[in-house]
Amino acid sequence: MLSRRRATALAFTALQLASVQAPLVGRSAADDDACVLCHSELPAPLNAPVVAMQHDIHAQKGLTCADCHGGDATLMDMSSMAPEKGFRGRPKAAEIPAFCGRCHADGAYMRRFDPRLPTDQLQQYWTSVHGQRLRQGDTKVATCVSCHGAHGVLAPDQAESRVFPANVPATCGGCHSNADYMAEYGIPTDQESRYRRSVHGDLLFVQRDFSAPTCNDCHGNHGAFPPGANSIAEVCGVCHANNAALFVRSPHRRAFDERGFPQCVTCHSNHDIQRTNDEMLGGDPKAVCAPCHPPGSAGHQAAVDMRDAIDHLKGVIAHTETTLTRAKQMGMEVSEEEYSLRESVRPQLIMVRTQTHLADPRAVLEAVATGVTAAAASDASAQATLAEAQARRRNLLIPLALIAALMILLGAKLRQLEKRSGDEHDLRTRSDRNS
Amino acid sequence: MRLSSSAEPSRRAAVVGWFDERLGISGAIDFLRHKTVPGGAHSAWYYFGGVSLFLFGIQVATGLLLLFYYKPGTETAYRSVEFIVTHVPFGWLMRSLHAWSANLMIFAVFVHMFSVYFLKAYRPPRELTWLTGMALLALTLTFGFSGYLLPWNELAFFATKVGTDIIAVVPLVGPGAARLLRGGDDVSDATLTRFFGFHVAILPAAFTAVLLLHLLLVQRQGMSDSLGKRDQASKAMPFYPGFIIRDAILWLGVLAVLLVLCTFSPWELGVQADPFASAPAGIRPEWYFAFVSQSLKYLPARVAGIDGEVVGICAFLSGAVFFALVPFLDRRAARGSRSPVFTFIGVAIVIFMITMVTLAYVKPY
Repeated sequence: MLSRRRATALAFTALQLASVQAPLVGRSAADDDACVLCHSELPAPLNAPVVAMQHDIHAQKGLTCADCHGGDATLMDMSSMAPEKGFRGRPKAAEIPAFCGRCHADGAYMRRFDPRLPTDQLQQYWTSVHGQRLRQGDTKVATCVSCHGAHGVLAPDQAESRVFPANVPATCGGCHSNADYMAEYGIPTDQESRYRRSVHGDLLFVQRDFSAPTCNDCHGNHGAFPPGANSIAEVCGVCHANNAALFVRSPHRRAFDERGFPQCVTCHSNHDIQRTNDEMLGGDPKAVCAPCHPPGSAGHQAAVDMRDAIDHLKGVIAHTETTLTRAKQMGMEVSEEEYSLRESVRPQLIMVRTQTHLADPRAVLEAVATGVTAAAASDASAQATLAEAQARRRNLLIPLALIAALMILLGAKLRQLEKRSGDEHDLRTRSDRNS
Repeated sequence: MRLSSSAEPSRRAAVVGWFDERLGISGAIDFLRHKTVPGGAHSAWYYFGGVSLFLFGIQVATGLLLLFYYKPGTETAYRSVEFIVTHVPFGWLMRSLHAWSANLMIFAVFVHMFSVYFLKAYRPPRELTWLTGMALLALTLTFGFSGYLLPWNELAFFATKVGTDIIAVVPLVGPGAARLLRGGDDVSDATLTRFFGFHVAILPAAFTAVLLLHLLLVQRQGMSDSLGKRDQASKAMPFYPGFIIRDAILWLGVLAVLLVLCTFSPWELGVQADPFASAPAGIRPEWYFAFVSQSLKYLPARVAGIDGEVVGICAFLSGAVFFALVPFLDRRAARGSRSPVFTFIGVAIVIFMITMVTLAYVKPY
């Protein structure tokens, strides 16, 4: 409800505007929009939508206030906001999904703007935890405007958008990191801070890799829901396809499902997933295998065998690298060998590490054997380069000896010629003196 | 034995006579026998001209061999040089000899120029010798600049970008010259092709012509005595065998140094240039241009309302013009008197260059 004072101001402004003979040329749609004309003259916060809408994607697509809020924007008085004019006003929290969905769930309407736009957001939303709770009357849950904003909505690919990948953790964290706000739900509120410390957070925030997964990539966006323990591999497998494919074929899949272990999360954690390392595998108590596979068990031995195989391949690669470094330090051109190591051997090491998700030492040993063969070829080439560098240094003695001998011979010849020249000069001087 | 020993001089005389009959070389031999060069304490400096000439010869020989395999072009240049140093027999040696001798040649040319400067050997009638020498220095530096880009590696690419950016700063002619050199607005395939053309055709032709003129003038006027030693004929050294054999021994020494450098520190190929990559840290031009780029870093953005870089480049150009005109400016040396002001200026320039080059390598920022 507008206060009496504001309503008077609005009416006055409308009268003033109506008396102005505005030019007909160069007028935009907003110039004729009563909502814009009045609200831009009103004090905050009533003028805020006009400011925010300047960059709003809806405004850019030609939509006006009335397209969402209803009413008749051609009338320069309060009757423009009369219910009989279709004015819907500001929707309540529970009404927002349907309010936005009126257009966004209408495929025929949305095709006008971009045929590729999905129109299942509303449908997905009602399947999300947010949507389900909203239906139960919980108006604290996120609705469309909680993530996208109400006015000033930007396309998701714009860096300033609240749903741009790098901004998603902060957008979700706006509620989920607020311990007071989330208190009644009894769920942790450290997901955002843990995510920021994770390898995915590092990729997103430090390396600015916007393809790195963020909240919505694992939980879904409109249909946000925590993945079930038995479906985590499906979620991680979207990116880590090989690891997930091997895992579902491994004995771990059944064992984890039976015990209710959350698949990938059991070894890798969830929000604060760290960069993997080989220490995670093996018989060491710190390895992720240790809690389930005590020493003496077959699983423990399998973990030890797989780790030993990886260490062996790493040793072969390290040896080749040392040889290449030595050859390089001797000034040799080893880019071909480096390329071979980088493109053939190192990917095989990654393949071996991936293979561990099958939890089958034989598969790991087979992959290691392929890597060792490729590394041996690079090592042989590196050894040959090193041997050539040493041979060059040895063989240098030959031209140096020849040059030294030539210099000595020339020096001797010079001495002989200068002596002869001196003798002739003395002889001439003496004969001149005698004559 | 007696027969053969007595026959040997007559055989040699017959060979010389055969050539003399056809080429008239007896005059040249006689000339060489009687030609003398100044001796004395400063005579060691006279050898640097010869060393420069020798290194130029190595440049030509190794450059021709590299031409058999080098393929200009952004897609082929780097790979062809890589092929030369890894697969072509002694290709590594030819490439290293070419690169090391280029650097040693530039060093020798600088030493030769400053020794001529400090000995005041530019005084009349050797003004033209000095001017042709300055032209040879400029051509040598251009050789270095154009050749540096040819392997199309990362350092060369960005150093050429920086170098041509500096050229573009020169008032009036700079932007046009930079565009002419680059063959466009940026360092690209067109630049590489142009630099290749300059390096293997235009510059060698120009250098050879100026070098012949320079040598002709040296021959015509003889080597200059130090100031105040004009009449010390007793210290004169016969050109043959004294000077020429000493020169040959020094050349052999330089060749030995070159071989050691090439074997123990072969010239690096580096990483292939990627025009879309950002410039790696530590980009700087070759040492012989480092004194210019380093000096420009210390200049403020604006000097008396003019762009600092423009002021710096103009200062260096003025310095080069001053240096070229020294024979006409140093009137005291022209009269045979000592000219301590010019000596002081020379010392200041040498100290400045050494300091800036050192800073460029030790503390570039």
